Amino acid sequence: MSFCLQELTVVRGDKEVVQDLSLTIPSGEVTGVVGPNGSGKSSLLRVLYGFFPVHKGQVSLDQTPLESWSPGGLSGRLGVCPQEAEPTLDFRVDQVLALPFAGDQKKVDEAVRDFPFLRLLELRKKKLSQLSGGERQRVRLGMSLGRRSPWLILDEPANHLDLATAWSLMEYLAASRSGGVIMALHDLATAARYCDRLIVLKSGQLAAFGPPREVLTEELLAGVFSLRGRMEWTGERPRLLIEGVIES
Amino acid sequence: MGASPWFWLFIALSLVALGLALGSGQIAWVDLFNSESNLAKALFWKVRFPRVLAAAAVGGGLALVGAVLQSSLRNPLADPFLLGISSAAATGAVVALAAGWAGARFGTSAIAALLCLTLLDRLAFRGGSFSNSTLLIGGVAVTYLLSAVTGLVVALSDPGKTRGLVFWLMGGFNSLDPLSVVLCSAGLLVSVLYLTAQSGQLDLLAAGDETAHTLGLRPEKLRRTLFLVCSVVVGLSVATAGGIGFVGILVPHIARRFCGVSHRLLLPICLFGGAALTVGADLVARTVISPREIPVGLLTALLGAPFFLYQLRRGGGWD
Repeated sequence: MSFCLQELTVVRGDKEVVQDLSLTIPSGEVTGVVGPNGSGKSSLLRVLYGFFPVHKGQVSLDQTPLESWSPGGLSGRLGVCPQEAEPTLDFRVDQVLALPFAGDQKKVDEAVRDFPFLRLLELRKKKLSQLSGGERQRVRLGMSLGRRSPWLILDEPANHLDLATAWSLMEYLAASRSGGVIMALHDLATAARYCDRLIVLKSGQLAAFGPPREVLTEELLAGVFSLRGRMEWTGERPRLLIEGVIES
Repeated sequence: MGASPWFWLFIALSLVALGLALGSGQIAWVDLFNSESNLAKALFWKVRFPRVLAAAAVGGGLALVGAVLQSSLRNPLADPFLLGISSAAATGAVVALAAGWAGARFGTSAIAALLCLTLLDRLAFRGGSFSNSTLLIGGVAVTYLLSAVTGLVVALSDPGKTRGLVFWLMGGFNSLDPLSVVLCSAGLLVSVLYLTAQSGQLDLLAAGDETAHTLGLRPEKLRRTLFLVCSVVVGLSVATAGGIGFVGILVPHIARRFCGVSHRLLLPICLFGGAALTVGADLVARTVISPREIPVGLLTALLGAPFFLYQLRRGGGWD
């Protein structure tokens, strides 16, 4: 069980947003995708869940190229939380949560019960338009986690969440090792603490791939993130110490 | 109560019964079953029955199309009239009528509606993202352009036909031919069967293309088929009854207050609610100043627009 990328290139408009990427993402691990804004994190994830087409190269899931998966087969393997919600009609929260289950509210009950840290019970009867950004993110996460798919692909899952919810979410993801978790993150300290491996992107190209401790060097922080600083690995919680920004 | 399609079916059937019972000519019910009274029979079966049937089919169809467009474009303002799709259908029909091929108007209006919808879709969806404002502004521009084209066709056509064309454009069920009624009802029946089978898919589509995609739907493919079905319904409605506005936005808007965005309930409620509204409006149109008539399209706009403004004022918003 793995995601295998071979010389993957993704084109949006006339720009190559991901260039010549080759790596294998094993299941049973938490893989983080990090990089500055516009480095291609979301584009990479969108290719993995089949929303963006592969321009050149190949992506395969469990030895089968993505194009050969049926839409239902692929969506059954992947629990996806896209980054931003598009404009939608004004759903009630329980109607949104029931979308993956063809409207079955019993499955929604289970999702509400199994993910107490998302506190979905209090949102259930509200309309999407009444929710704050963080509350909407909790609903989106409920939709993707509730499906209990072998793989989770999450784009900035902690976006808009309060610290307690974000912390609970990360602890949950790190503990659930049955399948694979792939998530884009902007917070390097979180990525260092919870991910087994990091994919570091810069302008669509692979800058580094490996365990956080090996990858997040002072040179990489400077070269990729324009940061003067270093990671501190004492104790259980890695910390990012920033001394300044490198002006270009 | 309002969330039950059965309630709306009851309302629609009641109005259909009223529509069949009342009218400018008095028909005694006993005469319908009396073999000697041919006039009453002719009046009922050739005038009143087709008229009520066509009003129900057009109203139900437009409301259904409104609901489907709003969900597939994820815009609560999407409506065949506001997006210019009906204008396109009218242009198609007027060209056929002015050229003297009355029977061809069903085809020309459906094709024109489909062209318009496809054009708007191409305008609003670019590079994988979707712009609501482009869609609406595009719709307004198309409406203006095609109203001008329609006006030009009417102005240049044979003076003997002008009055008939203008009255037809205002919308109504007063000049029906049996072919319209049969085509419109059959088209609606097929679309209803198809659309109700897509209820679950429409729920996904309303949640956004990316979300729908991650749940196993391929939105572009479904949307293309939906547009085709919507264009056929709008084309047939406009070719039958001209411009009946506001049904496609008013009815789904009210229906959503009861059932949210669940298409399993929304579609039947819109179908029955739309039929009830149009049959009721037609009843009023042909009885209040009998024996003269008000064009139904004007009546639905006269009733619909103020109701809409009132809803906005109340702060109900669009959803």
